This record gives sequence, C-alpha cells and structure tokens, in this order.
Amino acid sequence: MPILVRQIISLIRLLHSETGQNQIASGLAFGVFLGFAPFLSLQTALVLIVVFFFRVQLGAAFLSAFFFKFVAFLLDPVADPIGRALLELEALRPIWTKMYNVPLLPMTRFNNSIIMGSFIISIILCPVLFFVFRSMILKYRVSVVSHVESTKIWKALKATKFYDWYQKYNNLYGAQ
Amino acid sequence: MMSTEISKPKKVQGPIRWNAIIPFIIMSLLVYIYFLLFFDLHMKKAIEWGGYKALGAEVNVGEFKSSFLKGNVKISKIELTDSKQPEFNSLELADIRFDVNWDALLRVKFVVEEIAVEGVQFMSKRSRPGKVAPPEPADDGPGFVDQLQEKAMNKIDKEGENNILGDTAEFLKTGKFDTQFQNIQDQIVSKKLISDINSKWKDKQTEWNAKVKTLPTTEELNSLKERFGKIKFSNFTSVQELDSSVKEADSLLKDVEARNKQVTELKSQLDSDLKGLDSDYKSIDLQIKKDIDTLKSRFKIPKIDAVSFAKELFMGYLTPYMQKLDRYKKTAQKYLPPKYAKMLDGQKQTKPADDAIQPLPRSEGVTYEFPVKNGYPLYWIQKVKVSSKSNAQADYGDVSGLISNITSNQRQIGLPTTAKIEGDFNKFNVNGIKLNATLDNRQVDSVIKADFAVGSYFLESLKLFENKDGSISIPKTRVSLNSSIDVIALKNFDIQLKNVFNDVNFDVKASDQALNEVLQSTMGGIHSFDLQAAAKGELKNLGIEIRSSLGTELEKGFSNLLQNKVKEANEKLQATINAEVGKLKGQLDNQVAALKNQTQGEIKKVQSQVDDQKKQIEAKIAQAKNDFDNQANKAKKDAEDKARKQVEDEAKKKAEELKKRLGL
Repeated sequence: MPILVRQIISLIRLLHSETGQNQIASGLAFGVFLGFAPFLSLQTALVLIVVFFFRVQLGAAFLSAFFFKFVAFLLDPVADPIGRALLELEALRPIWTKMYNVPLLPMTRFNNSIIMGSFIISIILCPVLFFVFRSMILKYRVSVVSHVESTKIWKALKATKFYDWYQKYNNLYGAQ
Repeated sequence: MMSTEISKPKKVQGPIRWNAIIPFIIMSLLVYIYFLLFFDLHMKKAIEWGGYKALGAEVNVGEFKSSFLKGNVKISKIELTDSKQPEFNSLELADIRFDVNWDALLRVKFVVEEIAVEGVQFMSKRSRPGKVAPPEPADDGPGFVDQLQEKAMNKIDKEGENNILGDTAEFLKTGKFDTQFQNIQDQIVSKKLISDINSKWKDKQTEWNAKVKTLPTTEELNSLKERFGKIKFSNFTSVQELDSSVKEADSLLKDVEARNKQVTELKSQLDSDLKGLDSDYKSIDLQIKKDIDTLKSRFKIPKIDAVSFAKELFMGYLTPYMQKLDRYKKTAQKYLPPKYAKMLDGQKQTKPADDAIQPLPRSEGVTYEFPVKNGYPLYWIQKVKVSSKSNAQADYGDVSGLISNITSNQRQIGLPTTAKIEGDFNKFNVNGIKLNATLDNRQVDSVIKADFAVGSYFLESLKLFENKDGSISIPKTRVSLNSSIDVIALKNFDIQLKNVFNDVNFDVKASDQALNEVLQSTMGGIHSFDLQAAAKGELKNLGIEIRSSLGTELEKGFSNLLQNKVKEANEKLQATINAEVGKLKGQLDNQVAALKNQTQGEIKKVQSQVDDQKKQIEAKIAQAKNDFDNQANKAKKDAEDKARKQVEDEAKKKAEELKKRLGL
C-alpha cells in the first residue's frame, strides 16, 4: 500500500512537472489492458512485468486499471458478441485449436468470449488512448497548471517557508 | 557571505526501471534458495502429514529429492504403518523415482512417463511403533461387516451367535420341546401383526359400507329409466322436435355417465385396497417365518445344512477381510471426487461431458472447448514399474509388475488403467501372488475388474469355533486364494472369493461325548476343504453367500445323528405356530372374503345397470338420428318426384297446344 501511495504522489508530481508525459500516458494505456483482462491470467502477468521493468508510471497504470475494470464490466455486453464472433469464425478455427493445444497460451483464457472480446477492445483502445492521454496531459499543463501558478494564492504559497521546506525535501527524497 | 549553488545536471533516466529489477532478482534468488534448501523438506513433511490423514496411520518418508530444472523426483524409504500392529509397516517401499514431462507442465498438466517403484516389503519391522489415529465414528450406512453379520448369518438374536456345537449338544441332551412349545403364545409376533391387520380390514369394511351407500340407488336408476322412456326417438315431424329430443337424451346421457364415473372410481379404489391386502398377507408370511427362526434359535434347534455350518464356522475368518473392505470404502468416499463418492453411495451419476465442441454457458460469457489434439489430461502416469528383488542386504519381496495409464481422462488418451503384478514373498512363505486389474472409465458406466490370487500361504492357529461347549481349530494349513471383483458404475458389485485349505489336521474338542465322536469321525478324515464367499449387488444392500465343502461334510456327519430329531422338532414348532395364528388368519380371511363379496358384488351390480342404460340411450339416439335421416331423405325424394312430374305434365300440355296451333 505505501508503494501505491508513493506512486500516486509521484503521479501527481509528474503531472505537474514539465516532463514524463509519456510515462503517465503509457501507464494509463497499460491500465486499460489490466482493467480489461482477468486478474489471474497470463496477459495480466505479462503486462505487469512490462509495467514493472520499464519506466511506466505505476500509479497511473493502477489508477487506470481500477477505473477501466468498471468500464470493462459495462462493456461486457459489447465484448461478448465480439468474442463469440471471433471464436466461432470457421476461418479462425485452426488458429484457436492450435493455440488451445500449445503450452502456456490456454492460460490467457482466450477461449472465453468476454475475455477475447475485452482483449480486442483493449488492443484497439490502448494506442488510441495513449495519444489521447498524452495530449490531455499536455493541455492540462498548459491550461490548468499555468493558470493555477499565475494565481495570487499559489504565488503566496510559494513565498512561504513551508514551500521552501517542501522543495528541499523534494530535492532530497523526491520520487525518481 | 556568499553562497554558491551548484546545480547538478539531472540524470537522464533510461526506459528500464533498474530499481525494480534488482528487488525482483533478489526475490527470485530467495525463491531459488527456498527450492534448493527447503522445498524437499516441506514436501517430505507434506507427504507424511497427508498420508497420516488419509490412512489413519503414521507414514514416514526417508528422503524427498527433487530437481526443478530436470523435472525429476526421488522418494526413498516410504513406510506405511500397519494400523493393527503399529510396530510393523503394512507396506515399505525402498525407492520411488519419476520424471515429470516439462511440455505437459507448461500446459499446467502433470504427466509422468514412468514411475519406478523398487524394494517392496510387507510387514517389515519398524524402528519404533508408528502413530495410529483414533478410530473414526461409525457412519450411518451399513458396512460390509454389518451386512455379513446380518444377512449372511441371518441372525435373529445375539444369543445364538457362533454356537453351533452348543445348540447341537443341548439338542442331543433333550430334543423334546413339547412343554416349552405350550408357552410360546407371547413370543409370536405374527399374532399381533395379524390381529392389527384384522382390525385394519374391519375398519376398511366399515369404510366401504359407507362408500357403497353413496352408489346410485335403485330409485335413482329407475328415475333415469323413466326419463329415458319419456324421450321421443321416432316419427319426428320437424327438425326442432328432433333437436329437443336429442338435447334431452344428451342431458340424460351426461347424468348416466356421471354415475358411471362414480362407480368406476369406487371400483378402482377397491382394487387398490385389495392390492394392499396382498402385501399384508406377504408381511404375515414373512413374520411367521421370522417367528419360526426366532423360536428355533431360542429352543436351540440346530440347522443341519451345509450353508449354515459354513456361515457359522467362517464368520470369524471373513470378518477381518470385510473390515478392511469397509476401511477402503470409507477412504475412497473421503478422497474420491464428489460425483464418484456419490456413486459409491448408490446415488445417480452425473452426465459425462461430451467430447464434441460445445459452448459451456457461464455467468460471464461463453467458454469454448476446442479439440485437444496433442494435449494431455490433467494428470497422466503412463507407467508405474514395480520391481523388487531380494538381496543379501534386505529381504524384499520378489515382485514385478506394471501399472499403466493412471489418468484423469481415459477417454482423451483412449486407454484404460491396467495393473499386472506378480510376485513371491519368501520371507512369509507367500508364493504365487498375481494381480490383474482393469479400470475402464471410457464408457458412461465405468467398469472395474480385478483378479487377485495367491498360490499358497500358511495360516497358523486358525480358530473356526471356540466357546464353553468346545472348539474347532486348525493348527497349521497351507491355503490358496482366488478372488475377483467386478464393479459396474461404482454401483453394482460382484465380489467372489475362493480359499482352498490344504494339509489340514483339525483339532476338535467338544464337551458332549456324542458330539465329540461325530466331530472327530467327520473331521478326522478331512485334510482339504474349500471356502467360497460371494457378495453381489449394491453396496448398501449386498447379497452375501458363504459356502464350504466343510459345511457339506458336517451336514453329512450330523444328518445321521440328528436329522429325524430336528425334523420332528421343526414340524412340532410349525404346527404350534399354525395353531396359534391359524384362528386369527381364518378371521382375517373371512373379513376379507366378506369385503370382496359384498362390496365387489354391489359395485358390479350397479355398474352393469348403469352401463346398460348408457348403451340403451346411445343406441336410441343413433337410431333416432338414423330414422330422421331416412324420413328427411324420403320427403326430399317425394318433393323431387312431384316437381319433376309437374314439369313433365306442363311440357306435355305445351306440346299439345303447339301441335293444335300448327294443325298437326
């Protein structure tokens, strides 16, 4: 839990810095995968490995996963027919049979219509959402953050000792 | 004071999160260290704990050694404590080795090509006595032992148990029961049963008398007749008249049919009651038989037949085997998957999964099953090779055998599970052990077939009978065993067992001299005999049979001595019982005859009257309709003839006029 809190603080900090928009956007995009895939599956494990080993913003990924779990639940009626259509397609039958018979792949539970449909939706949404989130972050920094920083309250806060202490603390122990 | 701040250039971070990889490597190392140092120990403890829980006796494992990368396991010195003699092992195995198939493991399946089992020993001495779990509380269902005692022995009361010599000695002394037979009224349960049934049928008679009164009375039937007489069935002058007559007849017919229905219902009620009577008579006969058996046992009238001798003599010998079967059944019920455990209880089996591709409906989505082409079942042990040879260091049994295809899905691999094991245990003088077993789960109903034989083994101090009246025992005998078990759908059992006892010299003692002489002369000449036991049917209700050539020999020996006396006593007992219950039975017969004659006769009479009326009405209605049709047809024809004649006359007239006009 402390790691998660730190990651979320880090997300907020990163959101207000001038860099890191790719980290946040990729975290949010990977969160779509995590949200749409079942928790105990091979694809979840793979995405988690990628998220842990590469510099993807974890807080963003988990927040996004949490949010998209609800979206996935609402989209089940859409995912189900997509999955059924693909799994029942005669042309793809040899591929499914092959996948069903090779090691490890059945652990993705691809043969379930909702999981298959959700996977297809997340594959389509993931790159699209990456660019959408990236542009939203940039816009947020330009419009919201700069607006807040130009307010008198923010300037007053910045002039306080408390802010100096926070800056020093941030420089010394700030998240990486 | 001047302060100089040197701003360090911020280090550019690469795409890889090294601060996550290092903890991951440390975690992986810890897991590796666990598997290297502790996994084997924990597995050893787990097997020991699980074995104790499953078998109810201590299980020890000398060493558990596994290699994750090579996928192999070696378990050494497995000892299974004998729960009856904890200082011995019921089974000891020197080594079990096997390799796990990695390809299958990646599919989350457990496949072993070959398990090698070496160094098999039975009843080996333990270094210290093993721990034995306290016995579990008895379950609700009858076990094999209970069934053996209740059915095979047909015991009426415990007093008579295992007392064939005592009964015979007692009978030889007296053999006269006239006085005792006179005071048995209170001991005849069938008397009370007949009396109860009698009063039940008395009540029925009253009930039927009331019911008969609800039948249509003669007045009612006469009024129906009158109504019938008033209806016009011929010479209808108009359709309206016919219609009103038909309506009246229909209404009468409905009334008659309602009465008919009432009579038919009563008749079927009576029939069903009379069927109950048959079952009452059967229960009376059964109770009389039971009473006779109870009294025979009470008056110690011995059963001079081979089957009874065999049952009583070998009851003690067979009980431990049955206890073992009970233990195996309980263990199987505890650890089998619920659907199979239910089948052992005789409950309905669930429908097997179809091999065809089919969607399985789930709460979320549909899960599709594709054909498994080169996959594996959940677990599959292809071969278990048992090989054990005695050597200078250890006196193992000389056992060799092969168990093939232990699997979770025989239909997938298309092969049944088979076992073929042969061997000798010279240490115990046990030779010619043969086991041939097949478990076929490929069809809807599973089939288990097993043949087990032992060429020869020795039994010492075998006590067939022992109490204050005497004893029959065999100091030493060489025995052979042939047994088979067939189980269909884990429900229908057919267990056969044949023992042949060779090199027998009986040790016979009886307190009664006459009896002692008979036993000595009969058994002195017997040096070999057999014992055949069979159990058939469902587990809850097995039909158990026990036969032995020893029983036949004893029957012959005792027949000469006792047959006439026993026959006479049995006949007297039967006559006494008949006299006691005969009067009551006669009353019941009269009661039932009265019910049958009166009620059945009355119902039959009313029904025939109602049927007659119904037929008459139906016939009359049909006739009336027919008459009216004929009448209508005739009127139609007359009208047509008349019209035709008019037209002809008119035409003739016109022709005459025309002729006149033309002057022809």
